Amino acid sequence: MAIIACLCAVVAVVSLMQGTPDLSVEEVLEALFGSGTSEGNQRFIVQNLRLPRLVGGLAAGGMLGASGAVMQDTLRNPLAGPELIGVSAGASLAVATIVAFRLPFPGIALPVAALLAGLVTGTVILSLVSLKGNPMRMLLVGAAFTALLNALVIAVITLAPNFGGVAIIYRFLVGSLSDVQWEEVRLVAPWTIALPVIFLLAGRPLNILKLGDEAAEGLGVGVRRTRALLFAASVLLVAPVIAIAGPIGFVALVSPHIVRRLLRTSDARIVLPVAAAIGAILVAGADMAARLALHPHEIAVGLWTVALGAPVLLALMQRGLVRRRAIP
Amino acid sequence: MTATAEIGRHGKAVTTPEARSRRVLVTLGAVLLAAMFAYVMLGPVIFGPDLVFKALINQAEKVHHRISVWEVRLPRVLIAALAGAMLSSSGALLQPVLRNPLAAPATVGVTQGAVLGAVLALVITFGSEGALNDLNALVPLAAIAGGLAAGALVYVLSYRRAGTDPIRLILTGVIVAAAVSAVTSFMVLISGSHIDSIILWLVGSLSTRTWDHLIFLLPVAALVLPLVVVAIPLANALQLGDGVPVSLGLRSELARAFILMTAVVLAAGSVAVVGGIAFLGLIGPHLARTLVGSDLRRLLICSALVGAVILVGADLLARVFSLDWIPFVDIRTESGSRVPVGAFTALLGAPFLVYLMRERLQ
Repeated sequence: MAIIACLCAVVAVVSLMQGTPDLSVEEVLEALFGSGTSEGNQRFIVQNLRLPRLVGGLAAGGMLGASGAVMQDTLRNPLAGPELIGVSAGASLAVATIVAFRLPFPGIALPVAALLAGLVTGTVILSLVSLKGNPMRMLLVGAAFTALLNALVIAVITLAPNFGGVAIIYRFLVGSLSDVQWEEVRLVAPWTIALPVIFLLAGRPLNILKLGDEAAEGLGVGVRRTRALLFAASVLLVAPVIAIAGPIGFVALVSPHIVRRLLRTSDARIVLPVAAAIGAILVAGADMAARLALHPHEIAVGLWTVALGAPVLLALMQRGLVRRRAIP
Repeated sequence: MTATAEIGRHGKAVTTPEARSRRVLVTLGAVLLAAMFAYVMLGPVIFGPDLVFKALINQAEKVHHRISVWEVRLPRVLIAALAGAMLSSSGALLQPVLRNPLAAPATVGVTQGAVLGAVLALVITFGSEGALNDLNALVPLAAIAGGLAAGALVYVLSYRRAGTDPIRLILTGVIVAAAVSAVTSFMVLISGSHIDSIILWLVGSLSTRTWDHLIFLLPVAALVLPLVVVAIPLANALQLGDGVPVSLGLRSELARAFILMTAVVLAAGSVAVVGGIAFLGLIGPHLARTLVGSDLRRLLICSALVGAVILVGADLLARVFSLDWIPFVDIRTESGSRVPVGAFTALLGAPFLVYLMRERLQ
């Protein structure tokens, strides 16, 4: 736990330091808490450019990580993740339509629209697959839907007036934090309240669901209702992320696996919060790579997570983790 | 002609499968020609059939008329037909050899690998000056190499001693494709080349394709045709099971590798010119199979025709949707269309993939 907190702090400070200009630790602290003696420029860059992006990245990653943990246990599919079963693409299509055509919705409505679209897509896809069947089948149906929805996203963006160019397409297809400023952070902030609530409430039902449907019914849990509620909760966690940053991939899939491997536990009460922390580190770290690794070109953060996360998913499939119904 | 002879010999209208499928093929050919003609007629300026015909025999009355028909629409429709035929027949070869109804160049990663290869070749040869519409001889070769590499990777990763599980193979293909596409995006963004056109290229676009591009597509098509002719009987033999080719004196692993390679060359060759158009290689063969059955001689020709018709139709839609009569779309030039055709084939194909999974793999 302490290690993760330290890692979080290191990523935070380093990502505030790096960039143009490179700042030292003292300069960052000065710019953050200083009494105005430091240069106005540095203060502006740190406070208004880097800090909101870092905070947005941490919040987005935290919510993605928690969402993946909830979804995997709810669907009893170790390969599940909002971006893999099509939920993210559906939500992204809704946001892309609103943004590209400048539909008269207030900014606050974006996460709500993402949530509704994500729920609709998720329900359609889950109605097409059986939870007891091959876990890979769910992903394949999700991939087909993602392809369909991404095609719609491309059509919507290219048809919209004032075609915004490549940056906007990457934002809605793979996710990018480059647009995140304080305004976007304020948009997500109220939704992050869901995190501790879900940490507290979801752990027990998730643990029970993992025992299997019969055992859960035996313990007096309404399996269908619980599962629907938990699935909705996991979509609720991704929706605001998609509204501000787009469908950043593979973080929700990978974070819970990292936790289970590191802590050698699958107790949802522990996995949930730690997966959120890991997700936050992953996204903030990947965004640092997005900004800096190939400077001066910025590579959308979602491209990094896909390029790094896809091999992990392939490895998970290789390991035959898939064979086992429940996560051990 | 032959169909009527058949009827004469039997004395009454008996439709043998051969005669029926021959009729299907002739009808499809006619549909393709009609679609191509309609394609050349329609656009920002609509020409009547007489004007199109005059322009085709180089008797156009006005310069803009000749340019529209001869220099913009005709090469583009020819590329659409040829690329559609190649992609679709690639799928027709992949499906029986991999024994997987979901196999297609885009679902086993070949398309995306070919795109990466082509983009690498463009970035290396042109550096930051290169527009991604430029072509050189290296591009098709690099596309083929990329397609082969990605296909081989997917096959190795999904290989199991017990045989390759169809779902595992396709899911592996889709994931590898996602990673490879991300790498392609890296390449493009780093190179800083004319990236506005690249995203359209990633999903496949026929925008601004002209005779120059057709000239690059033709040799690949000419090269691959004899390969296809050899591959057809091999694939037919393989369809009967692994034992049959052995008894015919063939080595089935070798035959399989040869057919797979042919399919990759077909797909990658067209990808080098039109980009990563998805799902065409999946839909085409399935529609063709319902029309003419699974004998590859007929199936392959039929798939090619179906693929050509679909891509011509989809690109016509893409051009129509890019027109200025849609209130919020500004006026586009004759040759460029902003909506990539790949988006339309994906709209058709993705539901089809779900349908196939439910129908064929239950």
